[in-house]
Amino acid sequence: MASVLLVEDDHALGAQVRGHLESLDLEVTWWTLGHDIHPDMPPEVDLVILDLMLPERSGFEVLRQLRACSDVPVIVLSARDGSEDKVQALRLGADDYMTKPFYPEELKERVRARLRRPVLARDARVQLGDLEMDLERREVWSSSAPVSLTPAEYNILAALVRRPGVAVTRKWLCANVLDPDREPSERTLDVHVSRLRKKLGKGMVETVWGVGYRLHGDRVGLA
Amino acid sequence: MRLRTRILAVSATVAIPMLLGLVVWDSHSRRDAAAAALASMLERTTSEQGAQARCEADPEGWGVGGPREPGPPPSQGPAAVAPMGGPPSGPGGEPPEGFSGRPWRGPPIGLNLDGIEAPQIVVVPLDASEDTLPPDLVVGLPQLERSPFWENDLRVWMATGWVGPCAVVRIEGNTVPGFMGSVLPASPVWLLPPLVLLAVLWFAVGPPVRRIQQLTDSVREGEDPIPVQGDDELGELARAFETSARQLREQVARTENREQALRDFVANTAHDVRIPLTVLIGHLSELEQRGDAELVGRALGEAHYLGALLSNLASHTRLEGPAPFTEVDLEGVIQRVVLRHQPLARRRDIQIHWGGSAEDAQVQGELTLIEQALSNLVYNAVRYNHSGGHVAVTVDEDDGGGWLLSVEDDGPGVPPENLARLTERGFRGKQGLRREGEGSQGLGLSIVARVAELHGWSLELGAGSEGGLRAVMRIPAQA
Repeated sequence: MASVLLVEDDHALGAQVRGHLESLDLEVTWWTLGHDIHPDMPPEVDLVILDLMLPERSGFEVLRQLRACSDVPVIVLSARDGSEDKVQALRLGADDYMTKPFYPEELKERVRARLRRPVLARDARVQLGDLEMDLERREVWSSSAPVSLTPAEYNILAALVRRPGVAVTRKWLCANVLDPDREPSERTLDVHVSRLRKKLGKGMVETVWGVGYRLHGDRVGLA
Repeated sequence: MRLRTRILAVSATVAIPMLLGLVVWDSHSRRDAAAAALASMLERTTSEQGAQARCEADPEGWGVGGPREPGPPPSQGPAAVAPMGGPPSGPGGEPPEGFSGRPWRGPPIGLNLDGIEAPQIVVVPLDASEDTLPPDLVVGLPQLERSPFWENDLRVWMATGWVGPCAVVRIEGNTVPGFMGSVLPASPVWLLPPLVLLAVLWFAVGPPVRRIQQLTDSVREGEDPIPVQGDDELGELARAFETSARQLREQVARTENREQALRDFVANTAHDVRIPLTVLIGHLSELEQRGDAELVGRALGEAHYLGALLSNLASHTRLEGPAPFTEVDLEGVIQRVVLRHQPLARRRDIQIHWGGSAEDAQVQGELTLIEQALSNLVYNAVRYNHSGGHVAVTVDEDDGGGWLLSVEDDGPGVPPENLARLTERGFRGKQGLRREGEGSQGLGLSIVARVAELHGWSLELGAGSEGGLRAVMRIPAQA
């Protein structure tokens, strides 16, 4: 069971946030004010949610002390509009920030995103769900069976694999992946993608309205 | 024209006409005096006893002197010449060679002929054409022949009243020195005092001019305080500037303080409202799961709207104040904005998609304002879309190294005639509704436009590929 440290001085909001976190099956420790963090005893949690405006010890100070001894993910809560707070928090090592007011879903989504193991797509060999790729040897397997791709199809897939779950725009794919000598157009791109889909099986490459294409999150183990 | 040059120019413009006037006046008065002297000499000579007989016996030797010098007479043609005075060797000098008349005795007693050179009486032949004679000659009355004032030669005519060759006589002479003669001394040394005066003037004007220049620079550069030196008029001017600048600074400071206080108040109020609003949204979400989802969903929509209004209020005050730029990750901003509006979109069955260009999209900008601008675009795309609609947020590389940040939807879109007016502050479509509704065109698009302007980006609003609205912020490449 993952654990979260919540630092929030407002009781009503703190209680609510604790409720949201507990609904995600997280173990919550709640500080209603900023405490000193001893360098030798970093809080043993998987995530910190930190309000910046705290009585006694500011959120920045807590963040600074925390970063001196731990690299646990930190989401900062800000009720102020100034960019200075957010920028300073990011500089001090915060991973993300949220501006109040926010929906419970938004909070939960951020927390899930921070707790999720990052998918590494920089290795030469990538495994995403049923899909396996060797980026050095330009080889692809689907459900352990080798798939033969044309260079254009391979390039499209490689661009999507580098950012699993994130849509890549058609404009970028046209400009960077297709052969510039053959007058790349969005139509050509669509033709390549539809062939790629046939080879990889339905639902692997997803069309994203108004954007372009991406690898389907469920199929690559991101959900 | 610079001050020094102007002073010199003014001095010259005054001095030169004055000098000319003086010369003319002096020349006139000397001519008048010489003419009077010549006239009275002619009167005396003609009124001497036996003058007529002497004249008729010897027209050439007649007069008060003998021939002045051998040589042709001064352009009087056949007229006989009777020089009276020798060269200005003065009275008692040796008469020149060929002298046949009475020895030169000087002018008749009581006559001062100083300043007149070579006076001589000429007998004018009677057969001279009438043109040469003055038209209104009166017997016994000497008359000066008209000539320009700068001419040195003077001729005084007189009708003697005698019958015979000596009926008309004339006396001639030269004013000495001539025009420009006596006012301006002969030696150019006279030029020295005025030139020295001008030079002294030039250098004396220097220090005050420098002080004026320093004062000008101080005022222009907004020096605080403006340096005040001297007790003269320039010192007073500097003091007046300093006083007025101080008042201005105080007023600006007061205004800035007031504005800052107002900004702080808005920011603090927004901050204070945000926390209960978050709690309210939390409660509503919980209620939604327990009870009337539709009703609470609507309440949540209102709370969301309130939150957006609040952020725009705060952004509005931020746009008025200083906005420090930092490195901003556009994809991070997109993800946050999409996540923020996802709950509202989900309730309305609208899908928000986003995508990048597989590169790091880093720009210099004001984080909160950029986020607010994008948030407003996405919020409008969600809010004015229909159930089952889509919203796409993308960042793409632009040609030339910049970025294209765009928000597109497949909602009802905006009529072309309203597109241009969308970004005007307060424009809400033809219905003029204050809140969302059929005629409402969007929240905070004027803020989007101002954020784009602040960053030097261009905002383009147009029809989307599937009929909705497409808003593109074109971010130029940054050095």
